[in-house]
Amino acid sequence: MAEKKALIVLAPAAELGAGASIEKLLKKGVKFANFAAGDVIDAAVAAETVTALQPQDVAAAIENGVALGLIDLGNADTAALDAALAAILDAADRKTVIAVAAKNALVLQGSGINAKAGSVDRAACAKDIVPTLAYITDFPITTECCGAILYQALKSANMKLDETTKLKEALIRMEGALARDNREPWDKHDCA
Amino acid sequence: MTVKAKRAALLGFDCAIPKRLEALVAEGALPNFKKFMETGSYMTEGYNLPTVTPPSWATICTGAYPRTHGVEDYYYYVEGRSLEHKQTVQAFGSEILTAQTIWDRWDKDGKKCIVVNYPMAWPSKMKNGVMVMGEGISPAETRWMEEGNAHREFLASESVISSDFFPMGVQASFDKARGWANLPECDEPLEFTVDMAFKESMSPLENQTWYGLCWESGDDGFDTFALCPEKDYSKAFFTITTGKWSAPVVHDFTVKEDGRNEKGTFRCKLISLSDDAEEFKLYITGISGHRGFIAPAEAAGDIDFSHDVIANDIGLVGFMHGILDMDTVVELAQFHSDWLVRVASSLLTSNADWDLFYMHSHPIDWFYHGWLGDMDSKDEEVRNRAYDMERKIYQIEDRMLGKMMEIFGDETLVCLCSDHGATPIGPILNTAEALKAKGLCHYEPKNSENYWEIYEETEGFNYVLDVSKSVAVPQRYMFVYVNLKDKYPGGIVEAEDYEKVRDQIIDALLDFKHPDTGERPVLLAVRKEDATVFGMGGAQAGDVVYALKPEYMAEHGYGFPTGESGCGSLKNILLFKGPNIKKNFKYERPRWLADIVPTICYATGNPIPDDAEGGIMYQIMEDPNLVK
Repeated sequence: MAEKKALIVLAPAAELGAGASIEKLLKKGVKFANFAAGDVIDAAVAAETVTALQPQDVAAAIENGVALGLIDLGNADTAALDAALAAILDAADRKTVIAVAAKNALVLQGSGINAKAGSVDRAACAKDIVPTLAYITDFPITTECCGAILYQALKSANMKLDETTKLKEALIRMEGALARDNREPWDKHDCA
Repeated sequence: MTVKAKRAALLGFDCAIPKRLEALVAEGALPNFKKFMETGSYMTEGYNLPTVTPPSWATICTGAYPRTHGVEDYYYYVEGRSLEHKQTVQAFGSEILTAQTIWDRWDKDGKKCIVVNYPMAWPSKMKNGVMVMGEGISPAETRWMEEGNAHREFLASESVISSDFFPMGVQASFDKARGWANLPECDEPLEFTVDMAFKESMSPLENQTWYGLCWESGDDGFDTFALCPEKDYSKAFFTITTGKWSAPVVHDFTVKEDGRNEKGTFRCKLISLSDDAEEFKLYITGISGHRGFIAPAEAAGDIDFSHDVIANDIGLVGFMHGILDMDTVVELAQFHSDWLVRVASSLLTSNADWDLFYMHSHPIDWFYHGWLGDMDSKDEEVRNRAYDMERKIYQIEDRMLGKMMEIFGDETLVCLCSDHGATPIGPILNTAEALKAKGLCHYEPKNSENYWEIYEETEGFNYVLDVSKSVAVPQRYMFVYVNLKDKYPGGIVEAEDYEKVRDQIIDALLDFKHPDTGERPVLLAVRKEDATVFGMGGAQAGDVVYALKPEYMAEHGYGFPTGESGCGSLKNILLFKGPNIKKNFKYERPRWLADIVPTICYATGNPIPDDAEGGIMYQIMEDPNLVK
């Protein structure tokens, strides 16, 4: 099974304006319009966990199983963000979650994100991005992390509970299969 | 002048229970069984021992008791092996029979016999007849010499492709579809690629790479799925939506040992597909072969195998593994029945001069193993759901009966029977515990850090029996062996102590009080030679034969046919219809499964197999004096 990956796109100078790729991002993304930009990483994650990427490198990085990719677009404007997103969205697979931190909004899209949520009213800030992505994709965070998980963007607020429950159920199924193969003469049989 | 039947047919419904059949007939659910009862004779007190599949079907086709036909349990003890239960093998097929079958006897006289899916039949020894492999409980499978509950089938068993983890099949997840030809008109389709392994094959098959494709037919999420042998949608096996079955697919599969291709038929059901395609489950029936399981081989040419799937075990194991729901199991039971009816009707039509037809059908037994406990549940919803499913399974068999009766016609003596009944699972008797209490058996609870063994403890598989330290070894359903030094590997009992140990075993079994109930669970424990009185005690029996009270049963196999518990009963069904058979007649005296073959032979004027021991059921005949 492909590992989950997270990509953070930093575009602090870009408005989320018109553009085919921005439109594509928003179509299945969750938008936090009430977003306070700032230092996204801020020691919340160890340096070795983060891989700095250029948009054109994203495809190869995903192929190689990058855990957390950071694409810093610097002073990119809306058009440049749109162009970068074209490459990033094309490269992202179904196990990838993308956070785009723009000047006027945060957008989350991809694995674990509720594609039907549209726009969320609650406030979000830069510090929330790392713990939210870590919650979804399981990369390690540090004790310096003080942001909040943006549950309102998730397919399920109890995503981890759901995952654990499913794994427990799978374990019970495996256990049942093993037990069936280890019967004694006085145990229930189910053949004939 | 008495009119004799021109031919005979037997339909066996594994585990059909008389009182359940009567209840369903009474509520009007089974019109064909009702009609059969009204125009034939019904025997209510069906006896046989042991109450389990292989020995019972061996009796039904030989007219001999287990002590004579050599099959005394679901499992078979292989001479020379340790007495340890896990080293026994499943007792199916004709090689272990030590009594002549009815079809072999009739075949000797030039009669044409057709035998379909009969557990004790394969391989065929007939010169004139046609046989569809029965060496297990489902057509075209073998269980002979397989340990535990293993089986192999033509061509492979069921599977699942899912985002979830199951004890069978393949785990997969969707990603963006890339590199496809002829994609359907849709926005952003998704794909998965799986390396399909085909398990439990009669001959191992090469893996194949299969591709799944899903897309949104509208704008409300993913809802359409196609399975393809290559990344070309125009070559898709099928396209289906959630909850739907595919049409039967015929595809080539390569046998590893010689590279030959075998055609196989399968169907798939898209059990679930979430609107974001993150969660999905695709069930794949077993791959049903087209040849290799029919003798003579050319008889397979009379059958079109492209329309039906065998659906071995009607998905019971898939249900137990959490893959299938009850409705899907019922659908699979119908597929199973359709396969049998097509094969049987094709062979009977192309061999219109047939004299004897024997066929076995297993869905009722699979149902009771899966849901009989639910029928006794205190939860009304659970209970009603189980009763509803029971009705549907019997109705499938009823429809099969209706179709087969049309083929048999009025000049055929038709017998309907089951091999045993079933009772809900009760407190389990651990026979080793009873023997250990008297110092006869050495077993210890597992005390291991091993991860999986800890799980086994939770299920009650919590001991290790050391044969080399036990004078008595419990084996299979009804036996305890004296572990003789000169007879069994690891044996420790001197020959002169045999009788003393045997008496100790009988005392230990009869003295034992079940820890859950404080009552004695053993109904009877006797020396093997005493068991010959009720048809057992042959070469395959243990030194002590015991039977449990019905409330301590694990559904069937350990108890007397007179046992009743909860909604269940261990009796079997037996009905006859045809020329010279009384109409709307109920016979309420006991009769044994060994009586079937002599009755068929007598009523049709055909030769009796060499080893038949049962009696003729004169009382169901309008004119029982056929020899005048």
